[in-house]
Amino acid sequence: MKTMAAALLALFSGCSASPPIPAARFANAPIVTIVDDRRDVPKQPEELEFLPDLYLFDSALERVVTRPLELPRIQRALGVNAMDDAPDSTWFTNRNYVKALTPEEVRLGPNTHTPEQHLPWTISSTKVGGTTPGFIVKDSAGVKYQCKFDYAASPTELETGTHIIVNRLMWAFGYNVADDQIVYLHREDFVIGKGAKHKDSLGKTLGPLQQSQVDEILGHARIGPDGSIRVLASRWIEGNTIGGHASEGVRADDPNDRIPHEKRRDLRGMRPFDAWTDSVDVTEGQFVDSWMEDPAIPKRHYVKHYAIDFGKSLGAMGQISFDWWRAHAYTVDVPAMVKGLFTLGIGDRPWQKRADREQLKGVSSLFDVESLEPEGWRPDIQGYLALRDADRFDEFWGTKILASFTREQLMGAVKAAKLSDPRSEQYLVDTLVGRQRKMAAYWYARVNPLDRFAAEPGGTTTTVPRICFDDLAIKIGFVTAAQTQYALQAYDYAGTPLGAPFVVAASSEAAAAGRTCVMAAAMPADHDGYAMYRVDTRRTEYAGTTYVHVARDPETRAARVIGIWRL
Amino acid sequence: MKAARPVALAVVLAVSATTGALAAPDPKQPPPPPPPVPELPIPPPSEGQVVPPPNDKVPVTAGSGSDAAAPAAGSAAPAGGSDTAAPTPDRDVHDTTALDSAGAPVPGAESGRTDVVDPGDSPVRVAGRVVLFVPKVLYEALFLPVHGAFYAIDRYHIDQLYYRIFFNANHTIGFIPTATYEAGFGASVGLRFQMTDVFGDKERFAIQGTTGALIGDPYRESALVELHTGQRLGPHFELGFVGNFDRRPADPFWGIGNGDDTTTLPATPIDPRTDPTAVEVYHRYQESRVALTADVQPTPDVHLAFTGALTELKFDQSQQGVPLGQVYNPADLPGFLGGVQHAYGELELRWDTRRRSTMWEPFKIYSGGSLVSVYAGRVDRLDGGVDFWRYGGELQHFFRLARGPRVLITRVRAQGVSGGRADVPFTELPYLGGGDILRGYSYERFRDRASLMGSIQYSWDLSSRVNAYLFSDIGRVYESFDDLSAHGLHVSYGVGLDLHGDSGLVATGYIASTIDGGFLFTVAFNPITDARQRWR
Repeated sequence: MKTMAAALLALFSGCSASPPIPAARFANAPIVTIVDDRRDVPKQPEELEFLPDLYLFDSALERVVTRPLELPRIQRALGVNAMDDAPDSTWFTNRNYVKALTPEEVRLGPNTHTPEQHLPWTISSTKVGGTTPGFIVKDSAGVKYQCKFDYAASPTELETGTHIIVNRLMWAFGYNVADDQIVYLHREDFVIGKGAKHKDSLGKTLGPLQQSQVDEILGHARIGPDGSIRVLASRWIEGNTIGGHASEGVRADDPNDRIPHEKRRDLRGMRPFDAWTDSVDVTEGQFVDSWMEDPAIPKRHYVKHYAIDFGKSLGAMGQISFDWWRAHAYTVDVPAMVKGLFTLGIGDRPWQKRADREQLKGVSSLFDVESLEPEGWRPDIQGYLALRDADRFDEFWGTKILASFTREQLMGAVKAAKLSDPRSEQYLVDTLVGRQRKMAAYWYARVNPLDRFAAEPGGTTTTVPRICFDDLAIKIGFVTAAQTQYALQAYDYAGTPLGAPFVVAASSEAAAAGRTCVMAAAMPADHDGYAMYRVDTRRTEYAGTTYVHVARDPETRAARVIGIWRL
Repeated sequence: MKAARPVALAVVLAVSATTGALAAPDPKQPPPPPPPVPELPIPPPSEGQVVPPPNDKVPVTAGSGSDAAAPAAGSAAPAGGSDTAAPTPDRDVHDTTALDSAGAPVPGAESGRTDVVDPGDSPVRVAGRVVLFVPKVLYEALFLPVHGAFYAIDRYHIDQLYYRIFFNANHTIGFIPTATYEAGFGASVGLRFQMTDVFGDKERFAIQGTTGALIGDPYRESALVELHTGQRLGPHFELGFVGNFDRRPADPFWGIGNGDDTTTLPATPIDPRTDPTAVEVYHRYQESRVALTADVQPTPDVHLAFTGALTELKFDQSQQGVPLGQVYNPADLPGFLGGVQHAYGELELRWDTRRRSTMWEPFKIYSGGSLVSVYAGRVDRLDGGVDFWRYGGELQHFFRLARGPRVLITRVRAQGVSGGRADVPFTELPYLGGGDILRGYSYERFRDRASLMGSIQYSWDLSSRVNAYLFSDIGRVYESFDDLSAHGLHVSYGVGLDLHGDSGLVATGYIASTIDGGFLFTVAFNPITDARQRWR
């Protein structure tokens, strides 16, 4: 027995002293920044109809039980390139993190057309679906839009403004969104088109559209003192829309859809964005796929994936339904209720104090910094599995992107909402910045926050590269360079240590920009000089590790980073 | 179990001490100052990342419509130029196309990894799945009907179809199918026709019928017709008419008084007026009633309510359980054999400040305020029996401990009749048990000429739709209020859950026990007892 205990002790102590080198190895090739999921899909995939009540039931009571019984293998995200990033695809386009957008670009987002310059708008039918009335129109340039209004019965500017702000942020983050914008029109800017139809919410034609019906719908809209009507105009998404994507698996009739959705980095990494913007309304219904023709290659069709309908974000969902539980529990959250039952509801709930705040025009009083729980944030429904399966690496990925937004960029997004009260704009920007920093503070402490790795020539010889990287925690100002050290240990392809480990301080360059370059150990001669550099970040209350894989470019013989592996 | 109540109370009191959240929110509080946040730098492009191709590589074609020729301006716009008053001209921006991705790896091949990225499932995991397949399928089969119902509702928009077929456009006139279940009372289904704005002043009219016949209980029937004047006579005065016919196959009866229950049947039927032996027996109950009501509301908190009613009651032996006549002599129960007909007039004065404290808390979940209600009514027997008075009162107070609401509720309730046991029809005697009066004891477990009960309850929210409560009730019935004493009090305690929707309580259930032992589990959908209206 003593022998066995000693063996176990030796085993564990050995493990802790020298952790195994991760198995990940990378091809000596350029980093993949775009994938080809735009191959021709000649036949339109079947439409996936979103069934909201069934989705809620499945999510809250059925799948939440049956999925664990399937013993799913929880693994790191797929759809990740060698730099632990999501490449460009029909799902995601790297935007602000790889090239900072101007505030004006953020304000405009996906907008390419200005319908209020193309009046009048011709109504072709009443809006189908949803709970609020509206119109389908074409502007005088022939561009089709769906119109919703700032309804008199709803909080002023809240849903319309929220929709546009999150639309812009989501676009700048990298997702595809519709070309939506706020415009101010007057009654006379709407004309009934020839053959316009009055439809019910199910799409059934009730008869020709009459002026009285138009007046009744516009009667629900909030009319400004000057007679202007605030309109949320959503440009019709190109192509044929075929519903959202399934929470699990792939679309079987789309050969480009190869990675199960719940395993995609770009979808799992949406979770920190949703927490940041308090986008609790995340279901399959908040996405739409479109089978569209490629803009550059005629007759090539493929499916492009959009996120839609953001009006319940920024705390609006809770504000509209007077539900202060939103973002802190699922709508049906059996484990949370059981916990509440046995704790008798005892304990402070700071998130319920949000309701005390004065509601600024266009802003939910629930949208604040203090109550945000980066890991404890919850969408309304637990069925969107990419969010449930998101791990700390996905959270880190999303957080580093959202943390890249500057105050000016955020103001650009807020300006797009055309809110009437400047105090609201300022509050939203301040709160977005505060939540952004809270998210970053949390996730930068759970994954080694080093990024943008590069290898540079180290001096006179190409065998000794300089490893450069950004320390995002220094960059955002959570810690200083003086508080930070990095320990480096090099290994060859087989995992054999190359030389002794050494410790360096963050460079003085880091004090300004968070970037440090370290002269690394010499690269080996075999495997194109393949070397793995273990970079340990050491701070008073944090330690984390990233392996940086470097090899020589076969053509230029220059060292280059070919992959990273975060621990 | 007896220790549960003081422990619960101690915990409840601790809430107020620890949360410090007793004060109601002040909506006039200004918003907190924004958090002090340093500016974030704009990240530069880095070596490890590839900048997307420039915007002018590929012209926008699809979807640009007639704007293709419009001048491009977007990306060249000056930073910070967010003048929202001026519309922005149409612009041309690059959209990634198949040309950009041509030659790139397909999804799943982007990792650059040369090791095995996905080793697949281990044999142990596969074996586990095989083992768990059966419970998974059983669970899915269990919920298949619900699953199918939701599918049908969503796929075929049955809810909207229902409103389209059975309601007018404004949803003020329509038919509503009803389903009622309450533990101990069984279930019934029916149909209700209602008008909620008959003449344009919120006048309400409804006619409803239910039956248990469809689920094998043909004696269970009810019919209801009601009309209320709404706002027609002004905001402070409402008249109403209610007519109902109800019959139930098995109402329980436990004798009269506080006798301990027994399952031993007496050799011969006993006189419940003099023998407190309590045996659970059942009888049929039939009620025909028409009533006029008037509610004067001089202020939002004060009601003066008058009720005048004509009632006929009939009783018979039940076909279920132990019939009443097997234990108690029906001839000794006033009204049982010949039925009861009476006219009734009642005046109630009610001061009711019970409210939810904030719009953020569920509708109809009170978190503050009080109820003081006193009433007296005269029963004039039309069947030759002795006339008598009914009277009573109720006090409630809701102490809001914290947001949620987390609330402590206290309640005292008393009822009495003036006639003797030999004069008052046995179903007209005040009772305790069931519903929310002496929970933990069976429905109408104790009845006599007077009843007194108190209750304390701590309620807290589990979600926006569910709240839980711990409670303890105490009380007993007396032959006369002159006999009031603390001796022989019945005590119950338990825990319950309420599920509520946008317009009120949807379902309630609790599990309770008593100092006499045993557990009682009660669940009710559309609760049919009227006690909750006074309580809630």
